[in-house]
Amino acid sequence: MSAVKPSAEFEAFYERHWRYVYRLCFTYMRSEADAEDCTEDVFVKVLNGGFTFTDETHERKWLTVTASNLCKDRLKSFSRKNVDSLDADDAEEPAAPPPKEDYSDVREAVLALPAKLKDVVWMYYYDGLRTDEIAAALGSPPSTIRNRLKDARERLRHLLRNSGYGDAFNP
Amino acid sequence: MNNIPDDLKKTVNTTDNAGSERDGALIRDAFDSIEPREGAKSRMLANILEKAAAQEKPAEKNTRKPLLSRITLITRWALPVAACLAIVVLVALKSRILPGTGTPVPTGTGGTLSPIPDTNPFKEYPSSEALRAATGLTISAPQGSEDILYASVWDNIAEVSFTIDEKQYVLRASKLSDDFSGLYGMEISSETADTENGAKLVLLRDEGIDFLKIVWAKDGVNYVLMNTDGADRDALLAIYRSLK
Repeated sequence: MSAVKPSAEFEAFYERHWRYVYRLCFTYMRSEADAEDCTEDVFVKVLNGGFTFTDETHERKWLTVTASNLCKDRLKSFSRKNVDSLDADDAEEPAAPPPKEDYSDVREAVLALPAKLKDVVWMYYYDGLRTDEIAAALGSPPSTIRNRLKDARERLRHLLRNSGYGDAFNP
Repeated sequence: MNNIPDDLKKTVNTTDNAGSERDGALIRDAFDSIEPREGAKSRMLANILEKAAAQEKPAEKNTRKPLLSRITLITRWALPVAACLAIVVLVALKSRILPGTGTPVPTGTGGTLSPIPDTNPFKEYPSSEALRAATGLTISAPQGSEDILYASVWDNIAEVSFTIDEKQYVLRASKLSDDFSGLYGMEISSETADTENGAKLVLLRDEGIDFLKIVWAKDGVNYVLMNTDGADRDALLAIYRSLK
């Protein structure tokens, strides 16, 4: 195990994960400036927190949970126009993106999900974690995670119904 | 769920609602298409170092008092502080030395659920009996349940999840005194569900979504029954009554 210090070790850590953390933050914040700000704050936590990690998988899990929580707190702290809020009711009927023929349809659909569903979608599909691993990371029962994944898939299917991916995310 | 490789099927099962490999690839491509602005990498690194330095600076600004006044401060407060500490230590020792006095403090790895565990805390079991053998806790799903799964969390929380009328429920049991439900949210309302067990029906709200749980204690074990996919209070109460 090694502690991350403001040194070549930290820069190597940053090099491994900066793009991943940025992408995750952008998924929540949907703004390049805010995503950069949140990404910076995540790494500041690493620098000043003196955390130790057992391996890169442990690093990734820690970064995922920390970045998700930080972004959700940031979204709660100020009102935002034209960006999804944490209140699921606001996102009940998001507008379907215009039909396109590349995977940007899927990106826009994922970005339109409520913040509460984004972390399980990210951890399940991007990090490849099982639902019980996601449940452990988030401290929630596995059944809650499965329900959220099911909810996310239904919303994605609805959002993509007019796109070239209309047959995706079927039950 | 067709044409899924066997190794993927291990993690993709019907209760997972996991979807196809193609869906996963679509989402991974969607996330990978998010690219930072030009220069973001170096710009963010510079800002990170600056922010980290700024957070450490306030500690360096504290001026130290002159030596004489620090010595006076120490002698003035040292004895009372030492006396208080001695009392605390004695009380703590007493509660451990004399059996039956006070509630034992849970020790071991299960005091709180670590958000980033190094190992998976969930272990599945094939039956209620196997779960009891592992945890010492007895729980089971009500009659008429489907999709029954038994598991332990950090070996000191017993859990059974089950489906009734297309709603998914989780029942947990533990000797822990803290909230071990895993549900987070603001408590909206609480009502007595059963005076016999001190059961309470609690409505929680988290990010606009409502959850129901019933908490009660019996024979030194704490229980929580919860639902997160829209079961109403009557359904939850009916299940509680069949379990108690």
